[in-house]
Amino acid sequence: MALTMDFPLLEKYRIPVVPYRLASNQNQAAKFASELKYPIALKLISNLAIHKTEQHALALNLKDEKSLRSEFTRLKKIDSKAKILVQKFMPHSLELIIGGKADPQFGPVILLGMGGVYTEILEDVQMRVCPPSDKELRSMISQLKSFPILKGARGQKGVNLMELSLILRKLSTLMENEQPKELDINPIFATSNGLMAADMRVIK
Amino acid sequence: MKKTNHSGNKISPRPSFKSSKAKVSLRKYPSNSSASKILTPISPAVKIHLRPQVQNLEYVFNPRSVAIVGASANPKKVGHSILRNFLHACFEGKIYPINTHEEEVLGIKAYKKVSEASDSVDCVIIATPANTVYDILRDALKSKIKAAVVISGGFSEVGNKKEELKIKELADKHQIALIGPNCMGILNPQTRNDSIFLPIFKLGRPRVGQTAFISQSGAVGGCIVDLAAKSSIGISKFVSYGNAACINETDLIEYFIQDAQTDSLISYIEGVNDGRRFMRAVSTISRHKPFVVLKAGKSALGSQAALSHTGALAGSYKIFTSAVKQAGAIEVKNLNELFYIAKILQIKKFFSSRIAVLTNGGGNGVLAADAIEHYGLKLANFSPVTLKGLSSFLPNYAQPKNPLDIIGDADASRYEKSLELLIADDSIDAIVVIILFQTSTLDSRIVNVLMQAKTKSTKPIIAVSTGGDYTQLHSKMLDDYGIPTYPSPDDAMSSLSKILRYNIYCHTHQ
Repeated sequence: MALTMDFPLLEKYRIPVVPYRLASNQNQAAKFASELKYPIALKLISNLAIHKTEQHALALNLKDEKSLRSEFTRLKKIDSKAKILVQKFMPHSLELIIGGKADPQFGPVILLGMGGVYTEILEDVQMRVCPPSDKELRSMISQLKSFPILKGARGQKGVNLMELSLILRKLSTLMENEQPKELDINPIFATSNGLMAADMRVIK
Repeated sequence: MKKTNHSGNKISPRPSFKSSKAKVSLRKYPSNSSASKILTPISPAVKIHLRPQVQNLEYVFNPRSVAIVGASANPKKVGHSILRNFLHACFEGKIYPINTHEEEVLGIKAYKKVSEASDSVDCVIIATPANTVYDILRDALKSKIKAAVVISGGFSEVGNKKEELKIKELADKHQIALIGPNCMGILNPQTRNDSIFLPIFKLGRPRVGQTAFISQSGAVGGCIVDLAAKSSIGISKFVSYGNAACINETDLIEYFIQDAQTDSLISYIEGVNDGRRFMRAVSTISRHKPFVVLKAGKSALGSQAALSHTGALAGSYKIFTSAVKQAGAIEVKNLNELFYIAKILQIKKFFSSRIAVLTNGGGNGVLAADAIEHYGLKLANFSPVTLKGLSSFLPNYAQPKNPLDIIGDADASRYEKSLELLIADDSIDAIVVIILFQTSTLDSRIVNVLMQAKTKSTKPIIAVSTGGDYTQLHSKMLDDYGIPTYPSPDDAMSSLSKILRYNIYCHTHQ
């Protein structure tokens, strides 16, 4: 089983992705960073670092070229052959997980939950067998325990729910057409304006 | 948002996918071999066509003649109990005991082979060792059997897949509706067809009713039958389907969609054969009859080796739960809940959540109010007419409000007057009557009051009675008269909310 980070797969199904470039050397990274504009996040794409947070294989909220270059050097030490993802850093947004799995019994299934580091602890997730109807997509969102947060709570703006259900619909189409074994988009950043996938992995 | 595809139409791609650019990128990702499978949306089939083998289930449930292979005079043998049960139930068709050693079993002439007994036998029930089953079936074919119930164990459940495949292929080839192997038998109280191999004095048999039960496990199936008899739940059919070599859970669901004697189906399932076909059958039956499922095997085996978050979160049990919920099934967590739901299944026309609570104990009323909130139901607001009516006869130390506490000195007539008002009140959708039999003023007369209220009322009336032997005696009486009675307000509200959710699902998915 091979884990890959495959943003083009998401783009093919029109699932919005946080602007990114793939850099193989420091100068390239610096050039991309100035194109994307700071702040920037760097992520190591390597099978040696599957759990990026635990293995410190990422650098977030880099505000200038100096810190970008030093973090780039640090990441390269983990895996010198790996490419590095230069990504626009998006602060202050809600993190969701959306994903899919090919179940041996029921076929492709999609999943939606609260993302970030506590995903597996809180287990606040909803699943539907593909393809779900629009009604089921809506219930999938509204039956989350965290739904009040998605709607907007305590003065915070909510998430664009229409956009979220559209993305889930696109994910369902992806799962049906490509039939990957497992697919994670974690996190997908969600704001009142829209949603953008910040990280993904797929097992084909 | 695009229009729903729930009606069974193929989903059309979103307009953006039609652009030429998308087509180019499609080529960039050649689909692998498994991706070539075309998936159809899970939506109810407009009309289910039963394959002939499944149609032959008719002969499992309503045979004109049965051959019981392994029928014996030895009370320790399984075949003995089966024959005795058929005799005890006064089965109306012909019975042929098959025994290689005896001339006569329990006073009936026995035969060496099925083919010797008659040239026309509808159903053969086999309770002999696994290695004899194939030959018995081969021989029975001469008697033109249409159905078989194979009680015998020792097949795929112990790794003997070869023997099971042999009988499966034979049954499939001749369109025999074969139940089992490794099952506990079937029961149809209407035609008094009882192949459950447990003796009647140990395992009660339920009365005739409209609920069908199917169980993968024989042991759980036995408990279900026994408890159904105890809780006075009428059944239309019971099937223990064992290893499901030929007839599996989905076939049975499809059969019961069309079975006129059945208006609800309750199942105990450990695993399903084809998930998508199963879901389609469940979503079809749920549109006509409530389908209740108790799923066993909830441990997270499937998610242990997952690499991704999704893989870890989406264990096989969780996917099963999501799938059956999506298809409109009512899921229960244990046998208790299963029977609480079974009791209430007859309640229909209940689409809204305003509950009136009538009680002779304040604390139990509060517990009921808590449960109402917990399960997403509402406490009804009584209409002015009801309030006025209540104040006309309630003692001045009782307050006319919901939950309606008519105080510990309430007798049957105070219940009767209150119920009359609650039944007439349009702002109430269901009535939960809490009866604490421990008070000196209450006795068996209350059972009559509730029965009469039930016949007058168009809204569901259910009872809650918590207590010891005297209470349980009366709870049983209420259950017998068709008033679902629960040991606690929590159980009652949980069941009500499940049925309400189902009614709404059914109403919105027509």
